Amino acid sequence: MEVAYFDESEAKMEKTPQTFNNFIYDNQTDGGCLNKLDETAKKINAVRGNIDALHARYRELMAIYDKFTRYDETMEKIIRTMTTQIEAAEKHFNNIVSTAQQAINEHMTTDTTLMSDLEQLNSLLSAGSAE
Amino acid sequence: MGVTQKSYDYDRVIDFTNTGGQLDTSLNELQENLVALKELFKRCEQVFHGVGSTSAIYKEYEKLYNRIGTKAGGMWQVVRDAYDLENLMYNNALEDRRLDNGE
Repeated sequence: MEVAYFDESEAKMEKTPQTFNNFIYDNQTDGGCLNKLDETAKKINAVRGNIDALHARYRELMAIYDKFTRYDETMEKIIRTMTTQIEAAEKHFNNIVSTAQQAINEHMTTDTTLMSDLEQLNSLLSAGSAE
Repeated sequence: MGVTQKSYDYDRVIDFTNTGGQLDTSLNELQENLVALKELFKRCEQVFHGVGSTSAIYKEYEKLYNRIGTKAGGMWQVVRDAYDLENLMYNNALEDRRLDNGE
């Protein structure tokens, strides 16, 4: 009997980036680059929280069994792999933020209004490294 | 009549791993947030991207998607493992209860 829920369609969905013909840095206040990067950083943290919660559930189960079980190694491997993947995803996300900073630096010589964008991106990276 | 000694508290395991139980809820929330994260990556792409598939930005997005994808140990592959484990623990606990009850 299957009791757990698994989003099969999402799991099977191919996840690849789009290709574009031009460079875009869209810094519109509402829904623009800074807004989306900030939301993404928060969602990455939320996934970290979910992994921590799953780890806590596994520890509770281990306590219910009250002895070493055949499941222990699998549970530990699941948590270890999930943690590795989300930490790596965060690293790649920070690289994207850094690329945005580089793009702004290049354009700031002609557009000084980008200075505040740079400050916000700096704080995004600082928030990530402070954790 | 003697009291059956439980080998472990399989009733609690059954509740914990059943649909809507604590483990199930945690796994569901993780899946919801992974879906939302993918959508956010797509939105980020729309507002910040480079040219073609050889740009540094493209390669970072590609690595991001691989990490949360299904291939090569990506997150969704591990979620599937967690899903399989939950079902296994539930069914084994049911069977253990059945055997202890002499059914």
